Amino acid sequence: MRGPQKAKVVEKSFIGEDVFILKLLQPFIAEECRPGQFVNVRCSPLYEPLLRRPLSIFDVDREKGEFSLLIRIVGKGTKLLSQHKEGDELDLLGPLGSAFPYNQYKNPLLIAGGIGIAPLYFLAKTVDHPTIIFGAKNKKELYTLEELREFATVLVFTEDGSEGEKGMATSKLHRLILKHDSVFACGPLGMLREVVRIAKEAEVPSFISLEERMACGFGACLGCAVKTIKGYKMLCKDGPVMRGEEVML
Amino acid sequence: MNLSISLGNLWLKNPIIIASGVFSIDSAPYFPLPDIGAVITKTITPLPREGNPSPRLWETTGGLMNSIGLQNVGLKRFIDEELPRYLELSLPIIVSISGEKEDDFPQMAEKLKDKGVSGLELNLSCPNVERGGMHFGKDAEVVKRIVREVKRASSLWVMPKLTPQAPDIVETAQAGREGGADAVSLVNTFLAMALDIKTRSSRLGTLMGGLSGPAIKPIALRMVYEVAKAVRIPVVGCGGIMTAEDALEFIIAGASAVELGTVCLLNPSVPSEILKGIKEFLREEHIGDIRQLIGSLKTSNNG
Ligand SMILES: Cc1cc2nc3c(=O)[nH]c(=O)nc-3n(C[C@H](O)[C@H](O)[C@H](O)COP(=O)(O)OP(=O)(O)OC[C@H]3O[C@@H](n4cnc5c(N)ncnc54)[C@H](O)[C@@H]3O)c2cc1C
Ligand SMILES: Cc1cc2nc3c(=O)[nH]c(=O)nc-3n(C[C@H](O)[C@H](O)[C@H](O)COP(=O)(O)O)c2cc1C
Ligand code: FES
Repeated sequence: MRGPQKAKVVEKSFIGEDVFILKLLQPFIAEECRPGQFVNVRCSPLYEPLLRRPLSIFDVDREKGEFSLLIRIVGKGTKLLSQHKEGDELDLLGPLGSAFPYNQYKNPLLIAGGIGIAPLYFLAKTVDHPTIIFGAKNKKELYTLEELREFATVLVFTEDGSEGEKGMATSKLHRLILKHDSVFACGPLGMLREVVRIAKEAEVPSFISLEERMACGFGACLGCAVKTIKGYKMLCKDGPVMRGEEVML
Repeated sequence: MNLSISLGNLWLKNPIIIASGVFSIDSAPYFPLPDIGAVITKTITPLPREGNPSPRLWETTGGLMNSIGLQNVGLKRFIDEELPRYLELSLPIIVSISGEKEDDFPQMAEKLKDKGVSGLELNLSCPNVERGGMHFGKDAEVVKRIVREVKRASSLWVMPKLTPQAPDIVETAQAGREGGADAVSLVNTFLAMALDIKTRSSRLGTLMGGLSGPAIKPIALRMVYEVAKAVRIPVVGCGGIMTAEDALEFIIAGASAVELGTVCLLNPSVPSEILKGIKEFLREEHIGDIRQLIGSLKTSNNG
């Protein structure tokens, strides 16, 4: 049975005003998870808020049986999660959903926008010699940039020019994409639309990690529908990583 | 200790049923199947339905609104591809059916009659479709006619699922019994709305959705009590059950079994937890048979 698991909070660290990393001890999930997959987390032991919250797996330490989440506080669920302390127990379901098909391509280009870095950090750690475009509003929102630079070639864009080049993550994509055989992206919807459009023009396959409201996270409720050229797909099961050319964004 | 119950001639090893719409055959590995009395499938319609546009979910205080819109593969594919896998679960499988026309129900029953299913739940109560669904369940005469025609078309065990939107839910339950129903289940979701004040539009892809979860439990419990008191066939209670205590309240109010809906989406292990809680309660209260508890509500002090 693949029911809910308990995970122990090993560490919680704020890396920005409203963004924190939660490191969890859960050997089964740490062993099984692939980049792009998520866990569905109960935010309090009570049923308030009622639903679990989906969060991408951000980093893994298989030897220690640990994995981490990178979380931005946007509402009551994420706020409750931020109040957990070392040693607390969380209840979560996972790993859930599809992974980036990284082993089918030799030379992917990774693209992250803001908090969208969460699944791509894990992906960048998994592929050989990763190149990643990292875009954000400003320097402050380039979460975990320093760590990322230790193992990846990072091309930075900020909207206000406070770090890297001034512009959007997709500003130079039409040229950068030419050296790659695939694109893997996560970020705001506007960015993903641009990524898919440019990748289509360049005839490069794109894979994007999307968001939709979820309840179960394991394909039972049919609540997380995304429209694709093949009809509705369930984001929690057929996604969250979907082929860019197939989704109707 | 006996936990088994009978719903007419359908015997269940325990009173815990998975409600329609919160289980899919591919999600079976997430559920503790040995602790479940029966599974009701997602509602199947004669032809495939693609469902409603997203967003299909909205969380409220203590509740969940959904507007799934009966997305399903249609009866033919269900029988060919999904049902054989359901039957392998070694659990009583109750197929939930619905349609846009009254005739759809007996026609579907006819096609399911010799397929190894344990019974049918007639979804006369879905608030998320334009035709059929809840509109049937609001009219007692239509409920009676549909149940009667389904019973004529097959010898299957039949349980209409009632809508709380009915003007008088006791009357629709009676109508179901008069039509020959083996049991009735209630409730389906309550028609509800939530708005985004900035865009001044619905939070869902549709204007309205169905509300489920703990928020509806007290109303569902009252309705189950009223129906069980008035109607002489077994009642299956549903609506906001989260814990063993909730399930026991429904049983004391008159339900012979309970359906778990929304809670399964939050915690698919919950059938085991509820079963364990029920057993503990029976032990503490020195009750040897769960059937002694059904409808055991004491009202002498309530006038
Ligand atoms: C597959 C998947 C992976 C995700 N991974 C991460 C991650 O790694 N890190 C992270 O910080 N966030 C991630 N999210 C988003 C995260 O799930 C939401 O931010 C969270 O559910 C909000 O919960 P809340 O209770 O704090 O906010 P709520 O109080 O529920 O809502 C606050 C605001 O956030 C919006 N919101 C709520 N849920 C979502 C959602 N699913 N998508 C977009 N907006 C939403 C609401 O409309 C509202 O405006 C992911 C979402 C999905 C679907
Ligand atoms: C996501 C979702 C999908 C549902 N789909 C169906 C359905 O297909 N057919 C049906 O009869 N009821 C459906 N229901 C209603 C439930 O079976 C149940 O009657 C209702 O949710 C109240 O119980 P609960 O509060 O325990 O969820 C659905 C409920 C939810 C939350
Ligand atoms: S969240 Fe339930 S099916 Fe995707």
